[in-house]
Amino acid sequence: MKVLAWAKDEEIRAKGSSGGFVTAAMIAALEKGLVDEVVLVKKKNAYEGVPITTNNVEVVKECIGSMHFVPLNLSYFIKSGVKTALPTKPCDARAIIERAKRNQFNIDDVYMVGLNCGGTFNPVLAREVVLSFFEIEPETVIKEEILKGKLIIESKEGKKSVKIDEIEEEGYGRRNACKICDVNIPHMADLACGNWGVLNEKATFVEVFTDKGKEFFENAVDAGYVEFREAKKEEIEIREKIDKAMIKLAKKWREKLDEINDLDRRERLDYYIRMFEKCIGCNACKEVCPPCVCEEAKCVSMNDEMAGYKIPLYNLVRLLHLMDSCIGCGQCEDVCPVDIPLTLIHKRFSERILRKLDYIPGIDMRTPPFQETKILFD
Amino acid sequence: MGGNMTDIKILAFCCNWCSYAGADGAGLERRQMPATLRIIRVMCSGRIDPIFALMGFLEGADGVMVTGCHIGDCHYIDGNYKTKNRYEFLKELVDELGLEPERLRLEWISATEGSIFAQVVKEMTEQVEKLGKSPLRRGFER
Amino acid sequence: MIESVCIGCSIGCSLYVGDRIFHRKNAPHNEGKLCKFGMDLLKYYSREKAECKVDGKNVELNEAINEAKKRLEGYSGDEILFLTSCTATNEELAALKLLAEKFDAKCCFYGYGNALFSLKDIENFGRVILTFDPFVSYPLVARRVLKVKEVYEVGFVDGRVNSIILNPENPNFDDALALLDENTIALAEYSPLSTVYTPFLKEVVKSNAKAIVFNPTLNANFAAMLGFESFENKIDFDKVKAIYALEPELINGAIPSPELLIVQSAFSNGWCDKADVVIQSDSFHQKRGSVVNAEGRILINNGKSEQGVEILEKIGGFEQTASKVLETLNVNTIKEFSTVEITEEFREKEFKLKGEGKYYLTTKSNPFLWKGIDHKNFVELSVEDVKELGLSRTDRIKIGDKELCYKPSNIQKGYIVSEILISQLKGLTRVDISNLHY
Ligand SMILES: Cc1cc2nc3c(=O)[nH]c(=O)nc-3n(C[C@H](O)[C@H](O)[C@H](O)COP(=O)(O)OP(=O)(O)OC[C@H]3O[C@@H](n4cnc5c(N)ncnc54)[C@H](O)[C@@H]3O)c2cc1C
Ligand code: SF4
Ligand code: SF4
Ligand code: SF4
Ligand code: SF4
Ligand code: FES
Repeated sequence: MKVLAWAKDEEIRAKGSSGGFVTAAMIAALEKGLVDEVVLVKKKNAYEGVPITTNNVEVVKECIGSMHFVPLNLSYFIKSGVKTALPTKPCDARAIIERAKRNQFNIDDVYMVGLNCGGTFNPVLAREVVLSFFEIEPETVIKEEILKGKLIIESKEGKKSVKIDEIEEEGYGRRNACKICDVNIPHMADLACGNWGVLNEKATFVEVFTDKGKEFFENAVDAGYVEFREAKKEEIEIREKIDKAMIKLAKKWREKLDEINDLDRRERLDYYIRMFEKCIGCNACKEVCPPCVCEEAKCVSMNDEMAGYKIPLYNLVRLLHLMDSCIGCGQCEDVCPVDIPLTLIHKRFSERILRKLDYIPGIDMRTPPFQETKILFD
Repeated sequence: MGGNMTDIKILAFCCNWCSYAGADGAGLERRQMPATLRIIRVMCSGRIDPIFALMGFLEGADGVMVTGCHIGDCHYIDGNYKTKNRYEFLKELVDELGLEPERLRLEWISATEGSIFAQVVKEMTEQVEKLGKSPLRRGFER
Repeated sequence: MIESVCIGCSIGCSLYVGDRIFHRKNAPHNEGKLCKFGMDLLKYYSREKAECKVDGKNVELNEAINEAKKRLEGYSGDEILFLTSCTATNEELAALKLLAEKFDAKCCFYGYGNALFSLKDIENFGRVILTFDPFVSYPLVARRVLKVKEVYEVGFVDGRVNSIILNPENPNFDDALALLDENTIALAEYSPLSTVYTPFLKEVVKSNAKAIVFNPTLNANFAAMLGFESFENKIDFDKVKAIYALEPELINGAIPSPELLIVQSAFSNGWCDKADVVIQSDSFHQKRGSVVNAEGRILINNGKSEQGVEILEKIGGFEQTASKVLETLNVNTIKEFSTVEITEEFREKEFKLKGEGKYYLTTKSNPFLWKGIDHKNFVELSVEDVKELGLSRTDRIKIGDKELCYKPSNIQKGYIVSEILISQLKGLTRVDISNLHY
């Protein structure tokens, strides 16, 4: 089912980043008792949003709009046994699925309200972009938006827009994880919401994938919070076209950012040794890694700082364990205090094994191959 | 080339029921076993976590062998199915890391295949000797 | 989740504290990144709390406050000393200062006030000279240093970058000084462990090279702005009869024992054990207030508690703390992440190689050490010394009264590198090692 939907409440529709569908439907889900709680992002300013859990409709209204300078993952905030709805970028949805596989909660309790995602920016670098590409004092920004490949910055002086390509040519722009992320429409979520395919109207393009998604959507319509119409063929095609172009762009970035590709075997080893030599053993990458849920994690417990290994066992164990479960969210790299390009490194390791398996982490509830007890390879 | 034979270290993980018995057989039959070999016995090859193999390399092994019962013969039924899957992960990891794939080997060897065990170890030693010491070795021994 | 600041060191990484630590990526100085101490912060906060006590007996908060006031009033200003390790908010430090002024007493801290550059500025220099290992001490500096072309580390043991090795018997900085030019920035620490580097820093300050000096305690910069006096030099401890210590938890040799010791602290520690009056205050993450970090950046801790300030205001009977903070910062309102400039006259300290023994013990500074937490149980020894001592893999060693494991490392023979506190808080020290043969 593909529709264009919008909030019936004029204010929500106007404030929504597309048609305010997500906000209106979240409110409906709370009011009709479909869910106990929602997890949302509460805006502090253009560069900072904090995840919050609430059942208060007024708070939901405050959380309206998309934040492109807030690279976070909401999957940690789902509680076991609590019926929860939350907006999910593809990396949130994939994180939720991997965590559900590892018994953190029951996936049936979670309504994944997917958001299409073209990427997020590191907020500190985003400030630099605002200053140097837009010549706007970063603190005066009222609103940011991404439309048709352009970053639009609104301040008291008015609106300015710059092509994201142009920003990225200069080494700025989205996080590296996002540049190489090739899932834009969260087809693993219960439904996907976005602005691709919406032409000149205030509406959210919604595609429903699952029965749970249908239930969530219909609840909002039946409660009288949301209106909709079928998407036209032309709108569907535009959406598909942009999606394809973005996947192609991600492949291009995947090649471009990979500084390991041109190295020979020995140079590659030296590269990894050099990279992990920098590791200060803070465990931050593990703490934020959505699929990593072990309480007594082997990467930590087996690591021996006294061993003096050429590569810490901690990092090797993580490379191994993430081969079939890294969802490419880039959270690890965001928090690495010594800037190891972890997302790409994990991607290189996981691509090798996934190529041989008919398996992609975070898209369905299948058992991770590493835990599988039947033979998967010939 | 034979001169530095003893410098090379090959670590073999053997399951108690088949390959360890095979290795034992190889010894009993007084077959020539290269002095390079170090054996670690586990109850079932399914117990060989790829991390053990990685630790082997980090501790200074120049080659690591994972061995177990032939598929279908595992005493714990599906232990070696897991071994097979996990070995694929290990193989890809070692390859990506930049170690030569020849430094790693998976072999199914039954209790009666002492000669095969000896042969495999000999082959592996020769291969690894050609490659030289592992670049993952520390600058010093512990 | 509360916007908070890590109390581990003067970098003051911003973070959120909730059920777990959550990274605050919007913070310009640390971009959400933390070192191991910051990641472990919740463990630190879950330690045993201090309890309000008078002469060893548990009392209510108000009684402790009243008792403190009453007893302090029995002394004259030149007999009282107010001191702090600066693990406190601007507001608390300002209140402490006002309280000291009320009594016309001295107020002192351990640290060195300086802030002219941001961590990011480091990247713009062509050369960095470090006096610490940035992968252990002040790790948030490492990623900036890695972007600089020429990196040198001055020290006693071979570091992982270009090393300028000092002679332990007679440290001389000629090689490092020869590198100073306007394109060079020196990164150093001001602590009892690093007194050996002060002659070097003195020259840096005089030259046209630049410097950032980090403090092991969070808010030394604001204490300097308030005009706190430096602990080590100017205080005549013989005259001091009463001490009021606000969060004194920086390990700093022996705890003084004046006639009257009043301790205001969140956590139970040796100071509380010795105190006549203990006033328990909330732990740092619960506080509402601001701090000034090593960059001179104003950071906000967005908790609810203003108890720390209230305690001090009650004792002194004043309430101008908030305006004192604004006045000191020279601002109208406190704007998070904005910066102020701080320069203090540099204080050189004397270094003397102490101890007797065959090995030189060098200690790497880190936040665990300053908080008295042993986060490791081993030291590094050279491969040659490991052989010479006949150490097998499982053997343990003894240095002073500490039993330790060891890690063989590619350092020079005759040296020990430790990240934990082994004997006292000194820089380079001579010690012996015995093999315990386990
Ligand atoms: C980072 C980001 C990138 C996007 N990129 C695209 C794109 O390329 N193409 C496209 O078609 N659509 C994209 N979207 C989706 C689009 O911007 C709208 O969110 C979507 O159309 C829903 O609109 P709405 O008016 O119904 O939502 P609203 O009613 O405005 O609700 C939006 C919801 O998203 C939550 N949210 C805000 N920021 C984040 C965040 N960073 N992470 C998780 N949740 C958040 C809010 O809490 C709110 O509940 C993106 C969204 C985000 C957050
Ligand atoms: S990793 Fe992908 S889904 Fe996640 S924020 Fe980046 S682009 Fe969006
Ligand atoms: S390894 Fe990094 S990119 Fe992969 S899932 Fe974990 S946090 Fe995300
Ligand atoms: S975040 Fe970086 S430094 Fe910290 S443990 Fe992970 S790789 Fe090491
Ligand atoms: S100890 Fe210092 S560097 Fe580490 S997280 Fe805390 S403030 Fe940051
Ligand atoms: S018992 Fe030999 S592989 Fe399982």
